[in-house]
Order: sequence, then C-alpha cells, then structure tokens
Amino acid sequence: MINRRLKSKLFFTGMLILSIIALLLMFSVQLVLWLKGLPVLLLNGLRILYDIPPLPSSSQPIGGLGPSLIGSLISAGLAMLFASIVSILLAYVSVELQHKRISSVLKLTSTALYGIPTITVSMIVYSTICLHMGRQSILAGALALTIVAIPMEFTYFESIFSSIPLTYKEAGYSMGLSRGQVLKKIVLGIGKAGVVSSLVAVFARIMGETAPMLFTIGNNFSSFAFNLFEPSSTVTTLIFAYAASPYKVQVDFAWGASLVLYIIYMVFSLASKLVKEVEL
Amino acid sequence: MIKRNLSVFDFFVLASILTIFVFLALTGYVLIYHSAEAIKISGISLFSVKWDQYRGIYGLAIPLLGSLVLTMVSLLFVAIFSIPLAILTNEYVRGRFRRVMETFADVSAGLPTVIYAFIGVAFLSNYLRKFVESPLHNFLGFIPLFSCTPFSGANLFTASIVLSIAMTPFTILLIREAYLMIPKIYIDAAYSLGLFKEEVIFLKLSMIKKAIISSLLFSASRVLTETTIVSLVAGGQFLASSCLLSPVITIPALIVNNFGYSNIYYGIDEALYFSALILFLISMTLNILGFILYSRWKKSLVV
Amino acid sequence: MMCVLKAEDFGLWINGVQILKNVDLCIPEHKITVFIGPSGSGKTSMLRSFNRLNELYNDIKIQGDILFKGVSIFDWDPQELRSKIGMVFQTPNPFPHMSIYENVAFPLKIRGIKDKEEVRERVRWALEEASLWEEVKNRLHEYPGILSGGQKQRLSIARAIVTRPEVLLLDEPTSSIDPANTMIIEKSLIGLKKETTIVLVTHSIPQAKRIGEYFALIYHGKLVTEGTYEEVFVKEKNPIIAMMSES
Repeated sequence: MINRRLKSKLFFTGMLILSIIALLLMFSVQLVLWLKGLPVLLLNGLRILYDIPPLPSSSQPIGGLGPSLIGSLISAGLAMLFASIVSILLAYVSVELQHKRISSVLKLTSTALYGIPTITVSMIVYSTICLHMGRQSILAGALALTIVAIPMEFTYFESIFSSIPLTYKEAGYSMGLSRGQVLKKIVLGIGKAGVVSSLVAVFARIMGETAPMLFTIGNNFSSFAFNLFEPSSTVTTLIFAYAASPYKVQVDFAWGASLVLYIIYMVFSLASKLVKEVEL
Repeated sequence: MIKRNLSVFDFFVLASILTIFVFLALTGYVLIYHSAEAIKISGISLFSVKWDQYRGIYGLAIPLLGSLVLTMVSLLFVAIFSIPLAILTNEYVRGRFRRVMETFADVSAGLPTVIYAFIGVAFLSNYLRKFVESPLHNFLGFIPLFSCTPFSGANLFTASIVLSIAMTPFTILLIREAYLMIPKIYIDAAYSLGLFKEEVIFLKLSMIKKAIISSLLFSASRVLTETTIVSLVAGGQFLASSCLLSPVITIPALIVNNFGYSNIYYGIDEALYFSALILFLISMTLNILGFILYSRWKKSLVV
Repeated sequence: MMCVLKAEDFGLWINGVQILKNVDLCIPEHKITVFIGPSGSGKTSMLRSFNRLNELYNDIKIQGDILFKGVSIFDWDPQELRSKIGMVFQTPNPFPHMSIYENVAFPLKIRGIKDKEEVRERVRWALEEASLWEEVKNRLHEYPGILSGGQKQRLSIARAIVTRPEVLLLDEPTSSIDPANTMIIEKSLIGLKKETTIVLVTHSIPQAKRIGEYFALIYHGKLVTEGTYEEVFVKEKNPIIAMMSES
C-alpha cells in the first residue's frame, strides 16, 4: 500500500515538474514577445500600421508595417473569398450526397490538399503563376493561401452541415426550394454561427502563414502595392526577412512586427470563439 | 432515368469540384515532372552527402537525415511536454482556470510559427546556449550527444525545443480529445476498485496509447514540413553529426535557402522539387499512419 | 370523382429494394384520404413519391406513373411540383433560425410576394386555419423554440398551407403529439379540406376513422383495398384492419 502511494506521489510530482517546465517555456516565449515588442509599439504608436519600415541606417526602429500589412490583408482576404465559396459548396455536396462515392472522394482530396507542405504550395504556385507572369505578385500569394485554406474550411463546414438535422432540409425541399436555395436559406441560416466562427478562425490562421508566401508574393517591404499583379509582402515574410538581418534596427523592428501579428491573430482567434449558436 | 435540369448552382458546384482536383493534379504533376528531370540531370548524385552547386552536385542525404533526426528529437520533447500538460488540464485543474487553459491551448495551437521562429533566434537561442547547452557540453561532453561545442544557439537542440514549444498546444488538444472519449464506465470501474487517482490516470493513458501515438504522428508530420523555425534556428549548415548541439539542415530550410536559382545553378530547382516530393511522401505516410492508428483506436472504444 | 393525384401501376424501388408494388390509387379532390397500414408497409414512401421527395437522398427506380392534375409528376419540374403540394412531417420542424412570423411568411417570400399587407393577411389566415393564431398573435416575432411540440406542429401546418397548395400531405403528423393538440390538429384538417385535398398517413385506426373520408390500406407495398368508410371498414372486414384495430 505504501509502495503504491509512494509511486503515485512520484508520478504526480514528475508530471507536475514536466508540466511546469512546459508551461514556463510557453509562457516565457509570449512574455518576452510582450516585453521586447511593446516598447517598439509604444515608440511608434499607430504609425506602425501605416508607415513604411525603418531604413537599415536608422538609429531607432521607427517606422511601420504598412505595405506588408496591406499585402497580408489583401492576399488573405482574396484567399478567403475564393476558398469560402469553394468550400461551402463542396461541404454541402459532401453532406447531401454522403452515401455516394463523391462524398468520400471529396474528403480524400481535401485531406490530400491539407497534407501538402506549405513550402511546396509555394513552389508550385511559383512555378505555374510567377514564372509565367514573370514576377511575384499578390495574386500568386492569394492563390497559395487559397490552396492552404480550402481543406481547413472544408473540414469545418462539413462537420457543421452534417450536424443540421435532415428534417429542416426536407421541409425546405418540400416547399419547392432548389438545392441552392436550401443551402442558402436553410443550411447557412441554421449554421450561420458556426460558419462565421470558422471563417474568422481560418482567416486568422492564414494571415499567420509564412511558407506559402515566401516565393509567391515577393519581398517588397517598403512601397505600397494595391495592384494584384504587383509584388508585395506580408507581415510574416517581413518578420522572417528581418529576423536574420545583420542590422540591429531591423531585428528590433521585427519584435514590434511580431507583437502586431500576435495581437491580430489573438484578436481574431478569440473573436471566433464568441459565437451564439442557433437553438435547434 | 429521372431527369434533372442543370442549374446555375450545379455549375458552381462542378466548378468547385474541378478546382480542387486541378490543384491536386497540378501539384502532383509539377512535383513528379521536375523530380523526373532532376533524376535525368543529376542522377545518383541526388543521394550523395555532398552539396556543391558550382559543380551541380545536389546531394539530399544530409538534409533528409537532418529532417528525420530533428523530427524525432522534437517529437521526444513534444511528448515530454504535452502528455503531462494534457493530464494536468484534464485531471487536476477545475472550473474557470481549466477553461482559460483550454482556450489558451486552442488559440496557441494556431499561433504563427514565424513568431516562434523569431523569438527562437532573437532570444531563446542565446539563453539556451548559455544556461543549458554550454553546461551540457561542459559537464557531459564525454557523451557523443553533447560532444560538440555550441558556438551559437542555432543548433538541433534549440530548434527542437522551439519546435516542441510550437507543437505542444496542438498535440495537447489531440490528446485531450482522445482522453475525453474514454467511456465513463471504465473510469467508474477503476475507482471502484480502490485505485489511486494517479493509478487511474496511468490506466487511462494505457487505454489511449494508440491515440497518443497517432497524435504524435500528426505532430511529426507538421514538424517535418515546418519551415520558418528550422530556417532561422537550426543553423542551416551542411553537417551531419551525432551531436545534439551541432547545427543541422532540413529539407524545408534547404528549399528556402536555395530555391529559384536555376538560371545560375543548372538543375538546382529540379533537385529541390525532388526533395519536396520526398518530403511530401514522408509526411503523407505519417498522416496516413496516424489516421489508421486513430481509426483503429476509435473502433476499439466501442463498449 | 376527380382524382387530383392518380397512381397508375406504380412500383418503387429504393436502393434496390422494392417498396411499392403495382399501386393503382386515386386521391379524390377536396376530401381527406387516409393511408392506413402497419409500420413499414410503404405508406410514407407512397406519400413521399407524390412530391418526389424520395429521389433526393436515395437511388430510386420507378415503374408506372403518378399523375398530378392529369400530367405525370415526372414531367413536372420538381420545384414547381413541390410548390403546389404542401407537406407536414412526423417531427415538427419549423425553422429554428426564423421567427414564428418569418416561418409562415417564408414560402410567400420565396415566391416573390412582397406586399407587406398581403403577406401579413395570409400569415394570419394560415395561422388561424392551423388553430394557432390566438396563441401566438402577440409573439409573432419570437422564435419557435418557445413553443410546445403541439404548437410547433401547428406552426408547421400553417407554413405548409400559407401558399394554398392543391394537396396537403401529412406523414403521421400527430404520432409524437399529445392528445389535446392532436384533437386541435384533427379539427383544423377537417376545416382545411374545403381549401385543399388532404392525404394523411397514420398508423392509428381510431384517428383514421375520426377524420378520414377515403381510405387506402397499404400492406407490404401493395394497395390491398381502397374506398369509403362503408366499403373498407363495414363491408370488407379485412383481417389486417382487425389486427391493427386491436393494437
């Protein structure tokens, strides 16, 4: 009995120690981000959102993420537009025809797409779009993000749509609604909370992607590009580039950029959790 | 035999289905086409341990080895961190505090890896080198694992720590899911036999063993294809050594550093496509194994 | 007797299994026709064949034909057909994401009826015919979640009749409803037959006797007998009915 009690206590202690180490590491990472990033944010104020980055010769990391933030928002926004339409339709079909082969084919294809390493997505889009267009562009970056976003959204939507009771869909059909109308007015109507929450969550995730953008969107950190066929950059590629920079001012600025990205990601992720479901 | 007229909706549906098939097919085509070219151009030298772009030798053996070793070491740390934390949140923490931790894990699981990568290179690598790696080398240097001097913090050890910090929340979520699926009747039975809480936990762990391994396999697949952390923190030198404190290079890091220079170095892009194909196949295998294991475990749960 | 719906040697296979065999059936206009028969005999499948709901989620094979107002339902556009035939399901299913008012107004909305006054009048009419108006008239903008099962079913009926369909199909509408609400619903149906033709599936012989005017006994996918009350219950004395009446 004492032996067992002792072993249990040891197990618990060991587990506690390892958990604490893990938590410390995870917290320290985020704590350091705030400690080193906040001064940069405070130094710049709101200009960090619209100004251009500091020159390597600057003494202080005063500047902004403007061009990269625009690049992030446009490419992520476009990707969400394409991916959402495709994913909603595919998830709907997959659930409506769930006993037919097309449903498992769609799920398999989505899983396969999800398994493509994001760096490879970058290579593929580069070799098809960028080489033909002769340059890197926001459009190429958006396309890469679309490929990444579709499997994520498909999985979310598929589970939301399949949890909507059949009887509501049948009521819709029995009134003479077409498949498209049932999707629009019934399925999306009932599932709207889950759909919105998923969209916000996926948007947050693809804003944080780096690898798909590395070869596709370009390295233009200092000038604003609103034309889809122009090269730009994203907040993530900026951090990646500045992290390895020999200029201290750029590394310092990267702390600020990282904190901005962190805040954007956190706000969207937490927002996606605050949804009120439709009572069935 | 019952006719349906095609509508605008049907058109969009078909277009969507076509879109994802095209994406997938295009990916396969590009990878396979260029890999074939790579074999034509570089032949057997693709598998050598030398990388010399001036002479057109693109040996992928070292990056491949680096990828595999880094993944395994990272997975070790991931297991060490995530299993205790998963147990802690499930068994020892209650109420609001637990919900906070769960939300924290959920949200951290998707945190952009470039943030971890940057903090890793700008902060963690120095501290780890000073307080962990140098001492390990100084005191345990006789063990081959710690026999090399950590000149900078950018090495396999640091990279695996950073990777494990990044992957732990995701793994915790997967383990937690499995944990919650254990039928209550088994837990009731265990307690009714007079087992201590820790013994019940041990029992639960053994019941979800397969699920834990499948979670680790899914995380391994993510670690394998991770790009930003390894590029910044792993060192990127073309070395293969048995020492944990030495720099290492992985396939994603190799691609990031060398892609796009085919007009200067003939055949380099093709070799990189080939490496990407290998990476894809390994990561797919890990995902499939994880999925099979998970399905088998789920079936075994049926009361 | 005008047959608003007519099955002619109708056979139905669902996913390879034969559900209905050689059914010749006439649904008389402006009457309440009741399908009776034991569970699994094919009554619901027959009902769902009328508005072609079967083909939505299954592989089906058809033999023979069903005529709606003299024209084969398979020549009708499915959406057109279903907009002229209303259906009430076994489990009440008012849309949870629309208010009570919006639920009843919805079929009008999708037909493009925009005039607010007209919509309001028709919603009120439908709720009155379904015997629900008095109970919800002050709560029209609340959600169906606040209603009881019986009220939800009456709401479903209101939604199904607001467009004044030619036929109203009801699939065991009161089998999960309490007796008080069942009585209210049966009374509404009797009132509705002047507006529309009613086809009701039930496994309750007492209910069939209470409100039915024309009966079809379906057993093992076959139409065993059809006719008026006298023809089916008094003259024939079919053993199946006796067996069902006892349970």
